[in-house]
Amino acid sequence: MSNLIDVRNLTLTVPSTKGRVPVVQDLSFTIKQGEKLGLVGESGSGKSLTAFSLMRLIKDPVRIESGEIYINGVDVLKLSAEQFRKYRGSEIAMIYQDPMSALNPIMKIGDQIVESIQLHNKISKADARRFAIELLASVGIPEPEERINSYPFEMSGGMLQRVVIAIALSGEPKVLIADEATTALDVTTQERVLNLLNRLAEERNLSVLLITHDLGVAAQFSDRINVMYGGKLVEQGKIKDVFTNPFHPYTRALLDSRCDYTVDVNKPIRSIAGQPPRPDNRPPGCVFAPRCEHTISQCTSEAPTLRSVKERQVACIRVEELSVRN
Amino acid sequence: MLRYLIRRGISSIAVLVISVLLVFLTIRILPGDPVLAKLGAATEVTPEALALMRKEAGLDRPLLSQLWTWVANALQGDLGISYFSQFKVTELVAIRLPVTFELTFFIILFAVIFSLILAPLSVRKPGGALDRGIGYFTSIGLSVPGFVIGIVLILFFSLRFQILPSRGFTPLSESVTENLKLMILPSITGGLTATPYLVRYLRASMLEIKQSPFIRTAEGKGLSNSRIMFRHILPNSLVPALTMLGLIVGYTLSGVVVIEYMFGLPGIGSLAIESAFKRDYAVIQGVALTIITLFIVTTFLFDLLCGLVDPRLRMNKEEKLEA
Repeated sequence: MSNLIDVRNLTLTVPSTKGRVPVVQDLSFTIKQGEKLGLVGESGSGKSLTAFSLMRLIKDPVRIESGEIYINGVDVLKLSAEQFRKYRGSEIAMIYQDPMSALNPIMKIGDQIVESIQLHNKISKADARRFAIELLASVGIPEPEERINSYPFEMSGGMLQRVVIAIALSGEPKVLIADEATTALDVTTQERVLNLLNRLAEERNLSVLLITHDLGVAAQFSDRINVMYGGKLVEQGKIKDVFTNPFHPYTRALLDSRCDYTVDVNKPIRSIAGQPPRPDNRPPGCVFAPRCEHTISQCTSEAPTLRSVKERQVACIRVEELSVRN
Repeated sequence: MLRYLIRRGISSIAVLVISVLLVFLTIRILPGDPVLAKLGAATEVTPEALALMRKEAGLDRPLLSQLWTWVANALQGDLGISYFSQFKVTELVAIRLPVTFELTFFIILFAVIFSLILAPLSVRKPGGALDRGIGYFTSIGLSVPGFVIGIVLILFFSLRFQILPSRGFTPLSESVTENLKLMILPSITGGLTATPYLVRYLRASMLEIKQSPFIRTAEGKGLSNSRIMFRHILPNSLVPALTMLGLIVGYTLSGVVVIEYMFGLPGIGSLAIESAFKRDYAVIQGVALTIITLFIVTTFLFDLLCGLVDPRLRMNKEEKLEA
């Protein structure tokens, strides 16, 4: 299996009083064809920016400072904006955080899908309409022939997210990015949309990058997981390994602070003390050191790099001793 | 929708009544009256003769009684007669209105066309050279009064190059080309005053829409910039801009007074000025009533137009107002 997505040393910066500072630093990861990769981390960890970089939808003041993004072997950051436009929708497509605001409010949903279909296929409007109805049916919208004439404000959040998914699929992309795609939905709808994404990914052999702050969602969905903290990758591995035995102290803390119906209600929920550092105020050594319970003096002076540990990549200098102790 | 129309109708009538009342009273508070205006410099008039003339004009009656007569007649479509020309006010207004309508039409056409070109150009790269250039243009347009623009245009096109007439009017029915020629300078003058407002408003509204998540969705589809601009950003910016345009049309209908007077166009604006100088009460009141009605009707029509553009307004109006 080849790497459909190959991100190498991606660094994004924002301006601050100290000049441009990195918000995403030296990030590398790959996604194989048909693979589902989860990207987790708390707010401000840089996960959404990573997603937008893949779509080249990074806007001022954020800037892609360095790195390469290969989609199907092509470094897309080297393409002109006009050349890359052809990748959007047909190679790589995205599902957005809030379905309520992700659609044009004064355009019928059918027209919004048809617009995208006609952009990627040279077919008549009537054929595009038929295809749009098919797509709506495949994302589980009841009575698609009627719904195609609805405006976004006439539909619920869950239904709108299905429409957004239909639009994303309309160009038959190979890679799908879901940026907090279920966050704005209620729990039961969340479940249904996730199942739908899962089914579509299987059927179409899609590579998916699922971005979420919800570890439960990531666990349920992905094959592998990337954990980000403070703009850096801290742990990367198979979802089962990472979940049953997290190596990085941040991943462990994140798992411990989880709260859902699978967690014992009598046990107090642990939280991670402190706040994630702002981009212009990151500590010199390990970014997580100020909040970590295992910090030693070396942590604050030396920035850890990702190292391979038992089929995994972890950025922690104490990973061996800590994982043994666990 | 019906509920909305009724509410809108009631508030419109209230506005109409209050403004007509204000006009009626203010012109009578002003020093002078039609009789004095008619006599002009002739000072050798005995007080008895003056009183007699006022009595004939009905000016000796109490204010409320005058108002009552006027309202009662107006309700039957009779706005009285001009004290000077003895023409019916309704006829005077009817003759002048087409000129004002034509001028307003051209001014708005000018403003709309240029706004639809300049605002998208400006929004394409906010802060870029083009955007700043357009910004300077609108600043100048906003700060230079219309009559200055008019004078400059006359100086250039009528006096210096002598390609366009500066004054006068030929009805459309007589000669279309002559009529249009006479309309060019006044239309540019009015257009240059109205365009900056519309450009600025449309630009601000487009910039706001440009930041919306659904524009990112459109970009993510792989649509071209121009398609995103004209199919997604512009239509969504039209609702606030249309409301503004409605106001501009209203202001232009009532505000072309100066332009009409400067270019010698016999529109309702010049009629207002002429009758105001002569204290021709009936005509002033008739003109005021007409302008206020036009203003109310146009803003209302433009609100309905918003519903055409935005399905949310069209379908939700009733529920929203009832909530």
